[in-house]
Amino acid sequence: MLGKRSMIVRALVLAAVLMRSSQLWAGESPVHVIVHPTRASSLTVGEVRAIFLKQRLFWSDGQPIVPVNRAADSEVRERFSQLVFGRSSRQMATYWNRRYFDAGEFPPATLASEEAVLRYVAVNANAIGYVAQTGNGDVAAVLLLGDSEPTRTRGPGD
Amino acid sequence: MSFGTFKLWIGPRARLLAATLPLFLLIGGTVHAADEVSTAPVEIGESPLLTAGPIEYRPGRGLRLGPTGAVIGGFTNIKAEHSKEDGGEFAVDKLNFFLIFDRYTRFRAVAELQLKDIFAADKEHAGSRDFAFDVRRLFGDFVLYDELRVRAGTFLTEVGYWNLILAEPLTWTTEAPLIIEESFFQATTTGLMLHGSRAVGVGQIGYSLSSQFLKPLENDPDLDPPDYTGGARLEYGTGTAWSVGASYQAADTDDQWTHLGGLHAQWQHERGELLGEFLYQDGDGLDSSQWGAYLQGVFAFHPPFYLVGRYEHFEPVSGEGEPALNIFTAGWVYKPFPFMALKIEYRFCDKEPEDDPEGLFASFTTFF
Repeated sequence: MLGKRSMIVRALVLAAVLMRSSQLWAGESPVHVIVHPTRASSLTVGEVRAIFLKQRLFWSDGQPIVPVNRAADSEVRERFSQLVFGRSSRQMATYWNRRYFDAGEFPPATLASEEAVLRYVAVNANAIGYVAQTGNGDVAAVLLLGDSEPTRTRGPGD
Repeated sequence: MSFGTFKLWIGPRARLLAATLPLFLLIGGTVHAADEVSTAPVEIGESPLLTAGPIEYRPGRGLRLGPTGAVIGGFTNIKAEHSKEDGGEFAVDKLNFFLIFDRYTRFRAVAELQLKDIFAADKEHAGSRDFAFDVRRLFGDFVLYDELRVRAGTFLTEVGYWNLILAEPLTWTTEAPLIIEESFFQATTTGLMLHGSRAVGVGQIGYSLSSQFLKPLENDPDLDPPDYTGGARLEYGTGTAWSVGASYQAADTDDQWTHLGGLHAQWQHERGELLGEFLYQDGDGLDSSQWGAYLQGVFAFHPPFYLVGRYEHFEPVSGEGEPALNIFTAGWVYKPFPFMALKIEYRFCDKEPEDDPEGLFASFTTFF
């Protein structure tokens, strides 16, 4: 009797885990980190983190990096924040509060839509952003996040 | 200046800086630099609450004056306390204004103007007793490379962790740990600092080398700044999840040197945070060594409600008549927004300290 009950409990737990997993997979699409095609080269998660925390300010040629965020309530911003910083975008406010006070620094600029990020990065050689879909090739994807392991990718400029 | 019990400390440097800084910021905003790209091209942070033409206000991030790059922000702290010794007191403790020039990647300027002890009321008195206006910080940051930046002016002394978050909206308790309040080192440094960071392994390693060789801007007569300091700080971490660091500072006051060493560690999780810091100081300028440490934990039991606990130990300089102390703090924090907090805490000690009594402390604080 005890064995049967144990099996039923295990089956219920397994079902719950599978349901949770399927919900996660269904709702969480990968995130593409994008740059202007002339900047196409691979970046690591650590480099992207340093750029979006404004710890790294310059490309290797000395030009200033211009990171752009999506709005705080967007799904892709939340996903990016969790994958790159391991924190929600709300929790990231703590980091920016400190930078604001200590050094007068502000978080990256925010753009209102996926299309706006794609357009901005396509025309700004120093920009870097992130989107769920890379579009028609006007930008170069340099890192794919959230697809099991982070994958370095190269764009049309390579 | 003195108006009866109303004292106003406005030094000549503070007056000059207060008068010239807004002008400097506005003039700076009109300068065009074709080779520079603003790091704030579209929007800063989240959506503005108020917009009037090019002027935008974002709660907790200040008022941005359009394309000039000038931002006016700040924070306030209002506190109430009740101790067995002194009874109850309510105080508008601080109103600090930030003037930030954020137009170029390679240069930014920050000024912090402080109005202190604005109003206090207790069982014997209501009004302003020690009102002070001062320039707390004023510095320029020049970025040569990511790994090499130069900061010149008056800035927060790079020792440990808490001293770099010396604004009430950034802390979890109304009262700072005793080792921060006690005179291990001066909160600001006036001179030069070289600093920078570089990605190493899974994190970022940051360093700073700083020296004070000028008189502080702050005009507080209670300050007894060293004639010269030299310090170094090293920190490694992810910037968000955890960090560990070590600091050292040598200070010379009237040809007597003291040496200060510090260690700090911080770990953040979705459900909470741990922060610990240790300071040890010795040298010719002290009768004996002094040291102290604290460990603080924050538990997000039902965000935006948080529980805070802190244990502190402080071994003061022997011969000053103060005993070693163990201090415990238990508190509750409500953070409706990331830039605003309502804090209530009770602090108790195993021995009664001279200046920081046991009791109930509460405060409301916000960046604006």
